[in-house]
Amino acid sequence: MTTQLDNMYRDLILDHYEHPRNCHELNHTDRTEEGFNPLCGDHVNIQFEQDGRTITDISVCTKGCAICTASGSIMSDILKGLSVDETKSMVENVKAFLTGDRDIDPADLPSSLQALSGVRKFPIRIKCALLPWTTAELALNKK
Amino acid sequence: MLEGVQNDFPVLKNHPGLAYLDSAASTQKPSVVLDAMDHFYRFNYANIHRGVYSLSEQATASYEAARMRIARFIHAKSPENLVFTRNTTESINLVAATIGESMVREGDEIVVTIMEHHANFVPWQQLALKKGATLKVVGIDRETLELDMAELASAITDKTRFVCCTMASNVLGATPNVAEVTRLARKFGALTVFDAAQFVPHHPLDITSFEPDFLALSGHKMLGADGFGVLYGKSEHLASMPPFMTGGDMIENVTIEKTTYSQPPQKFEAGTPFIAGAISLHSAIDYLENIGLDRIQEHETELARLADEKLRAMGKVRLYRNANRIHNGILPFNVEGVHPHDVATILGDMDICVRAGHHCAQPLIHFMDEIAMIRASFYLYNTEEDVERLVAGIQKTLEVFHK
Repeated sequence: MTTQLDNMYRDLILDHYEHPRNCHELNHTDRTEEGFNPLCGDHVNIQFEQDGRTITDISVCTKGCAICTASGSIMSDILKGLSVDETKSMVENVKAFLTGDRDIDPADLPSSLQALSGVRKFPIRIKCALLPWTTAELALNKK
Repeated sequence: MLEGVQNDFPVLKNHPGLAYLDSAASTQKPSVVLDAMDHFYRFNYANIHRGVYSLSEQATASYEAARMRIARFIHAKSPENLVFTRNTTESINLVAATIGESMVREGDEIVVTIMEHHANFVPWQQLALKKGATLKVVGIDRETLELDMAELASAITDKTRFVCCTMASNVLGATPNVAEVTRLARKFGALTVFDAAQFVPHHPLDITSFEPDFLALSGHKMLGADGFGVLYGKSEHLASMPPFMTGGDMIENVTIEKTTYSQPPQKFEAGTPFIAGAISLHSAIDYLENIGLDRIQEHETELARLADEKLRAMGKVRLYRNANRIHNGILPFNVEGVHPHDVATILGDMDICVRAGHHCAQPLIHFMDEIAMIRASFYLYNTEEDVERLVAGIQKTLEVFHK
């Protein structure tokens, strides 16, 4: 097996895959969105609970591959407590980081996200890692 | 077992150590097929059915010779029963958009099976929605993973206009009894539409034994070029059907006010077709029949059986098939606790090519309570070494995921 593959399936990723965080019922749901990846059948359901402009709780439930599930789980830990605007810019940065569209200093991102960097060597899998983030973005852009 | 066939396939020679186990998606091409296309472009190329010069006459002759060869391959009464398309999907869309459009009315029924590839499912679903007709979906037996013939028999009624059925499932490899399907449909005057894309690469096909109304196949799944497909239709249907697309090459006479159309099959072949695609399938059929479809089937079945046995023995692999039924070299499975997409990535990293996902058959995958599956598919150029590589790849997957 190549080191590139080792790099993608790190222990932190596998841990989030086996034990995804924050798939739970919210007190109230202010925004919700479903995301699908038709290529592999990944499916993610995201719900936000807000107090004004602050995200007080989040639920991310994924039925999908290790990369998509772990990405969604890691995202749920990161976004909780951020404001909607902070969340939007975080999503922007993560998308740029994963796709390599824009230079992002990994040090500017939460350390758990760096575990996802291995996916960048597998172009077809970047979509898996992106799905929770693009779905969150759709939810946040809803009026 | 077939020996030395790999040498006929340049892609396999150019990628030593590659285990290509995705022939159910598309097959590699033998040199003879590549040479036939190359020769056509280098020596005989011109557009067909137009030029009065000899090059165009030769091109037309090659194109029509392909039609004759394919007709002979499936035992069609006449080459004129064959319409050339881009692929199976287009062939079925052609039927749905022409005779489907004119026959199906509100309250009518269209019967499909849960095993259909989206190509023989979505066009009928959309037609039913458009017309206010009912789409009836016949299930499979959960034990045998074969089409539920009793359910099919009760689904077809005097309101049924079309019965649309695969000849070999691209996920399970199961091959329904098409003679029985046709018999049940005919009892109520319904027309049959068969998807033969996964059948013809593996079996001799004699359509006189069940007389389908329509049948579709793709060249690229049987060693021919991608982008070339065939629709077989009974003469009486083709004669009465309106055109699918209009424009060049399908007209008899065009004035500013109106147009009259050519006779079938030209009537359904608007625009310059994929001439070299037709030539490629002609050559592919020669190649396949020269080796013998029976021998190919025996070879791929033996490999699939071997893989089945070895994967089963690992204990962590769930195979979606009856142990006694190995069809068309197709082996669908999942690895416990690992998503198929992750399995395929690890296998891909080891140069083992399999398909992972819903295989363009989402209704079937849901019916089986799965999100996705892995499919290894074997064909004439695969070897026992490919089986060993697959098994090693699954072992590696289990290690990576600490299973």
